[in-house]
This record gives sequence, structure tokens and C-alpha cells, in this order.
Amino acid sequence: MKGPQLNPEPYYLPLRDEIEIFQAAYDNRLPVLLKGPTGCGKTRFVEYMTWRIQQRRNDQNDLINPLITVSCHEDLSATDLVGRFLLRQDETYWQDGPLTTAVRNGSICYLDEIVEARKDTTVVIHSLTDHRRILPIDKTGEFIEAHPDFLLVISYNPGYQSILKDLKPSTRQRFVSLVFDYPSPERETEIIQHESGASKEVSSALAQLAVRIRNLQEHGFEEGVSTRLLIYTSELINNGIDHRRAIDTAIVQAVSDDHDIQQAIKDVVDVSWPSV
Amino acid sequence: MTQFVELDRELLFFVEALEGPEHHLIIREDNSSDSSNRGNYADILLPSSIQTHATENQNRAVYLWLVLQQLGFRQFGTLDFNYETASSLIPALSRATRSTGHRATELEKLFAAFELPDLASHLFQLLETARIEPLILRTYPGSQRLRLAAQKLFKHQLDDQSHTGEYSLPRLQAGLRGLTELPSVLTTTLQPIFRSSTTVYTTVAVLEDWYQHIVVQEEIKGNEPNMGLQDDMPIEMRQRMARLDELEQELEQIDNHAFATELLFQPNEESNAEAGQNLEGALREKSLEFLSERDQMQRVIDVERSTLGLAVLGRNRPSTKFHYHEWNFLTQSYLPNHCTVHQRPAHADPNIDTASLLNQITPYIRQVRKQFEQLRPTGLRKMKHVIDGDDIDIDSLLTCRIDLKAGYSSDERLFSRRVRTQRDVSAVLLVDLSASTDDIVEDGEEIEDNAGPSDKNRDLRDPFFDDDDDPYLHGALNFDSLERPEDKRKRILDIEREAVLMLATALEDLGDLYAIFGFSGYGHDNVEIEVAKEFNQSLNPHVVNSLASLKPMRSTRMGPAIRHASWHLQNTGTAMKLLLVISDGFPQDHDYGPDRSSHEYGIQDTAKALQEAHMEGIQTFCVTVDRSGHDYLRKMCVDQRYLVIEEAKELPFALQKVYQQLSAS
Repeated sequence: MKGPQLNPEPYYLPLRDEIEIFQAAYDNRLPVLLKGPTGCGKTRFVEYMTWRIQQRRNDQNDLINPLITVSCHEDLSATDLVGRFLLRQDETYWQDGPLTTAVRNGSICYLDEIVEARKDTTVVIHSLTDHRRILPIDKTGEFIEAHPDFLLVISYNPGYQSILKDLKPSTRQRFVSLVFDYPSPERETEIIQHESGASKEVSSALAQLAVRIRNLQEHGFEEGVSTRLLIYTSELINNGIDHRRAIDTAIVQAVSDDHDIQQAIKDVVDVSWPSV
Repeated sequence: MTQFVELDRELLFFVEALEGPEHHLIIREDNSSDSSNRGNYADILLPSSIQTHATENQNRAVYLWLVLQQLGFRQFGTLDFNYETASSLIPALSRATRSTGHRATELEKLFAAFELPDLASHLFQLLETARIEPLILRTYPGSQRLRLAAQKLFKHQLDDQSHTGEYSLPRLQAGLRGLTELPSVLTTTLQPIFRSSTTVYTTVAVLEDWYQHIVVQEEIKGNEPNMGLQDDMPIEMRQRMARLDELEQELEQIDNHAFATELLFQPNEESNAEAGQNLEGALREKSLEFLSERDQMQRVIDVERSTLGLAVLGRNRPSTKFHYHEWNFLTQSYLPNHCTVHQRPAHADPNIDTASLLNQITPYIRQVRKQFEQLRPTGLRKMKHVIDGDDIDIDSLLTCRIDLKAGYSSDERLFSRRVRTQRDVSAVLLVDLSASTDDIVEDGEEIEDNAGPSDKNRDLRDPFFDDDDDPYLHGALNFDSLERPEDKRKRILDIEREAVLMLATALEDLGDLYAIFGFSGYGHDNVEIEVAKEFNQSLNPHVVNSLASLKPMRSTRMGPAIRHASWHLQNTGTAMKLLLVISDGFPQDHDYGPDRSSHEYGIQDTAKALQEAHMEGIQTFCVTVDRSGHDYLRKMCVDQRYLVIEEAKELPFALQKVYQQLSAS
């Protein structure tokens, strides 16, 4: 859960006005909710925005972790975020959790896939996301007032998350929501090309292939192929792996275990892949 | 030999990947005797088997090419054809315009403009295919291999044909594919369709030219009968559409007759009281007779209209298709992807009367809730002695310290964690919507149509909901609604609806995840699932409306409906999954077995579907109001998990008990 150093500038290609909106939200310390499918660039966007915000701050060298990312999972509890008493030899001591650390130091705290976490985590963030901006810690009796630079960012994926899990309206309505989707083929080509160094032809063919695979989302896999997987594929191709083999290992096998879907994707690759 | 049924799922995915799921393309076997004559280019028609090549891979390539060819009609503008535009571009067409039926497609209007429409249709398909092939090869650079595989099929077809005349269609087709030489007079006019900037109108211009040449050259004028404008529609469907028209006319006649009878028996104020009473009795008897006949007719019409793809209320709702295997007990093997399930949201009729449905269940809600409260989770539970947790576990810590002092190794599990014990249950209530659910329940009690507050704003989770029905207390008495409806006898579907709604109200409190599906269908490729409530919906007025709007439909093909519900349940990821099937009879459909009277095939397939669900960890239970249900349910249900309800009105209470027992086990 250690934050990145964010140097040099993370690559991020804006799709709409998300940079302006996030910046405005940060200026007003409004918490931000990012919605979008896996691998469409949510985490990269937060990294990029953190870097941008750091550039504008004078005390950038004082902050070791400007961004603290927590990947939420089903066993993650409020204690995991806030902190706990631990044992050391003959005594107990309080250990801040990542959220408390961010609140104290003024970092951006990014809770990735928040709905995966246990329900008690959402209660903890409520008081941080309204005008109070405080974090109560019942075990130590503290009420920590958030650092002026602190910002909470959460993300979730309305598509594949189990229907059992959803953000309550009382939580959802505390955030400015930014919706992400996969980029257009032209933008995605540019991203693949930049990230992997692949040729424009390969990048473009991968982006077109992604559009077609995403058409199959309803059949057994709610998530379409991510931009991240496309970048992996083009990196394999760059390393001399046969194109179809690279697609098979990095895309076909990753998106579904259904034989018929795999075969259909292979057929799509066969008919549409250019002879590069 | 490679069969279509082995590949249809792969091909469907292939098509959807290339074209997108929103177009709902239909991909099916072409059973018509003449596949080269079509007016409908929207569906993808494929041969039931291909044995051109020795290897399955090559035959598969032929199938893929045929799919690409037909997708090409959609992607390269064939479907954008407009007859008026063509007439303005090609004056010869406007001179020959003939009237067509209102159902004729734009292309059918084009073919009707020729004296020999079938010939025009054949030629158009050949030329349009020739136009789009280069475009396909440009768009899909890897498709050349598929085309080469398909060439062999076309060559075989040419060899099989007895027509060897220079202008015969097989020869023209072969010529366009480069397998034989085309007559020079045709070649000269053909060139425009191979240019990069072609449109469907380029094809039509060449068609006009070729048609004239061929008619003159072969002197076939007058030899070809006009096959009409709906030849691409299966004969059976055409017959049924005609029958539907007749039925609608008959219904209109009944309505007119009923009106006339009412006028005839209108009691005269001046006549004496005795005569008036006699007339009134006769009128009532006659009206009931007409009413019964009219209801029966309306039901047949609804079924027919729905079968023919026309929504009963004139609306087509989008559906999602799913394919499932079917168990053929005669051969003891599965028919792969034999059944197509069309899932769509149930139509919520805004004009439907939900008040009577709600009024029926209102008196029982408190009692039902009380019963279900016993199933509620107990709350948080503290797990001690865990390696990681919210607090330090003092007991474990003490033991650890003692062990260390005594020189033993210590246990690292020194924390405690609070865990919420919660019900992790999902359920599907699968409701039979076959036509027989329209039957009146014997000895059924009359529907009490109390004038209660509007259901629109009624919150079913309101603990005082069952106290809201006092019209005097709430000032909502509506005298208009005190008029009793003409036929207050309950149908089986009414009872099913009440049972499901009552159970749903209880489940809403309990917090279990549940969905309500209605199922029916006609034929293996038209199993219909009407979704009245999805898992992630709450029991809101829209859901009640959808439930109240469910209508009796067609047959009872249970196997695919159960498989589909099981698939949904698997996706919930809950620890316990329950499937409750509520029906009124044995599984049957017109092609569910060797003949309609054979029920064994359907019973065996349903039994297999229930076994499959059981193997997947789903608890299944069948409840039926068919008193003879023991005979087949004994064979069908896993571990005798079924219940036959002797009196239909007991269904709501029986359903609750079944649910309680299943979910508590």
C-alpha cells in the first residue's frame, strides 16, 4: 500500500474533460468517484492527477507518499483502513492504517474497487466525505481532522461487480462521479503505441480487435478486453512472439474460458488481422 | 460432414463480435428449397450441413465465409436499399412499378417491378454477392482462405446442376466467381460493380441490364410463374398469418353480434315487471355465452399474434438470446444448443389493475412476515483466535504469553474479528405462463375487488401496509370501483401471481436475493423468459405492474427454462441457491418429443435439467396445481422434491412453507 513516487510524469491521454473536472474537485476538496470497467485507465488517471497536483504544490518534497492506493478485497475491514493495535514484545502500540496516514499527511487516498470491501469501510469514509472532513478512531478515541490537502478518491466497476454488491446511495451521493469507458479505437491505438512502442499498424489492429471482442461482453464475460491486455499483447509482439500466439495468450485465454467464445475470437482474429 | 448445430453457438459469437450485439441478428438453418431466392437479407441463413471438404476445419471455413457474405449485405449497404431512390436513379424501374402488399420489403418492391420477380431476385443476389465480395476481402484481409474453401462448394453446386445453358443461373453464378466464362454481352456491363465506390444501386443498374439481356437471349419470358412476394417466408408462417386475419375478423363479428343482442334484449320500461325479469335473465345468459366465446377467441388470437412475432400490445420488446442443450432420451444424448431462450423484460402494462392483486394479498402479509422473521440472520458474531482482525484477542494473548514463559512455541493467532452472519441465499421463482394457466380455477373464490388506496404509491415494505386498506379511514373510497367485474372467477395465473407476490413481499424483508421469471414458448428455438423482477431490483410498483401484466402465452418447455434460471442462479455467487418452479401441468411443446401427444420426452428433458441444476448445487422444487401431477413429478424431480396442490387457492401458503424449509436447510 505504499504510494508511487510519480516521477517522471505518468502517461495519460485524456478522453474527455476528466482532468478539468478532477482538478476542480480537488481545488474544492470534493471527493471523487471513478466508475468504469477493468483496465480502462482509472488508476493511471489518479496517478496522473496526483502528479499534476504535486507540480502545483510548493511542499512536494515533504510528502513521501502523495498517493496511497488501497486495492479493496472482500476481507478488507474498517480496521484495515483506519489502523489497529499491534503487539511488540511486552506492549501494544497503535499502527495507523493507510487511510489514517493519508488523512494525517494530506495524501490522496485511492480506494480501488471499494464495493469489494466489507460494509463497515463505507461508514468510516462518510465523515471524511462531507463538510466535517474528520476521521473518528474509536479505539484510540481520536477525531482526526483531515489535512487540508487530503482527498479521497474511490473507484468501482458497475459492470462486473456481483449484483450482491453495490454502493449505497448514501455513500454514492457524497462523491463527484467521473465515468470512464474504453477509449475510441483511434485513442486506444495511440495509447497502445505509446505504452508498448508497437507500430501503428499493430496498435490499430489491436484496437479494432478490442472493439469486436467487447461486442461479446454479454456472453459469459461481463468485462471486455482491457486496454491493459492490449498493451501486454503488443509488448509480446514487440518481443518477437507470433502475432496470433500473442493474441491467444494475452487476450483470448484471458477474457473467457468458454471454448465457443474463444473459437469465435480466434476466427475474428483470423479474418480481420492484417498480414503485417 | 460438418453440421450447423455443432457450430451455431460459435458462429453466433462470431457474428456478434463483428456486428455488435445490439442488432440481434438471427442466425438459423436454411430449410427452404431455394436459398438463392430471398427478399429478406436481414437474417443469416446457413445450410444444415456442409460436406464439401474432408476436414471439419475446411468445412468450418466454408460456414464462416457464408456468414461473412451475408454480413456483407448489412455492412456494405444492401439493407439500405430504398425503392424510391432506385426508381429515381433508374427510370426503367419507375415505369414498371407494380403494387405490392404493405408487408413487402424495399427489395421485394424492386423485384415486383420486373415481370419475372423470381428471376430478378436470383440475379440480384448473384450480382450483389459479386459486388460485396471484394469489399469483404478488403475489410477482412484474412478471409481469402475462407473464400478459397467456399469456392469448392460453389464448384460442387455447379457440377450438381442439370442446367448447363449459357444464361442459366448456376452458370452465371460460376461465371461471377471466376469458375467459368461469362457471356461477353454481360461482362461489358458488369464492370461498375467491381469499383471501390459501389453501392447497392450500382447492382440494381447492372441487374436491370442483365435482366433484359437474359430474358431476350433465353426467351424464357412467360415460362416462370410469379411466385408472389412472400416466398422467403416459410409456408407455415404465411398460413398462420392468414389464419390470424380470419380470427380477428371472427372476433369483430362476435363483438358486433353481442352488441346487437344487447340491443335486442333491451328491457322496455313500459312492459310489465315479469316480462322484464325474463328478458333480463335471457340477456344475462346470452351475454355470458358471448363473453365466453369472445374470451376464448381473444386468447387464441393473442397466442397466434405472439407466436408470429407480433407483440400482443403492438410492441416488440428487445430480447437477449441464450442457447441451451436439450436431452434426447430416445438417443440418450444431448442435442447441442438445440434450444434458444429469448429473455426479455416483462411488459409492464400501465393500464393494468394492480389494486385487486394487492388487495388479495394484503390480509395475509402480516402473518407471512411473522413467519419469515424466524429466518432472519442473528447479526454480528465475534470470531476469536484469528491471525488478523480488528482487536487483540485477550484469551489468545494470555495463552501465548503462558506458552512463551513455559518455553513452548507460541501461536500467532492473537486477534479477534467481527463477522456478520447473514443469509446468503438467492432464489428464482419460475412461473409457468402456458396457455392453460388461463383456465378458471375450479371452486375458485371470487375476486374481492375492494376499493382500496391506489397501489401506485403503496410501499410493500411498509409495516403498516396491511392496515391501509380501510377506505373510510383513508378517505379513498371509490364508488366507481364498487361495481363488480363481469367475471370474477380466478384463473390459475391469478393464483400463481398472488402466491409469487406474497412470497416476494416476505423475501424483501428477509433480504434474500430473488428474481421472478415467467416462461413459455413455442418450439425449441422460441422459448420465452419474461423477467418480472431481476435480482438487483427491489419490489417496487413497476415490478408489481410487470407481475400483474403477465399473460398466459403458449407451451410449457420446461427444460430450457430451468437451465436458464440455473445459469442466472450460478451467476449470483451466493452460498445457497433455490429454484422454485410453479406450474399447472406437465412439460409440453409442439416439438418437444417425437409427437405432441408424447409427454415422456419433455418429462425426461425436464428431469435432466433439474438433475443438472442439482449437480450445480442448486436446490430445486416443483410446485404444481395439477392434481394428476404425482404421475410425472415423481419421475421428474430430484429426491421427490415436489408438491402437488389439491386446491389452487392453497398455493400461496404452500409456496411459503416450501421456501422456508428449503432455505433453512
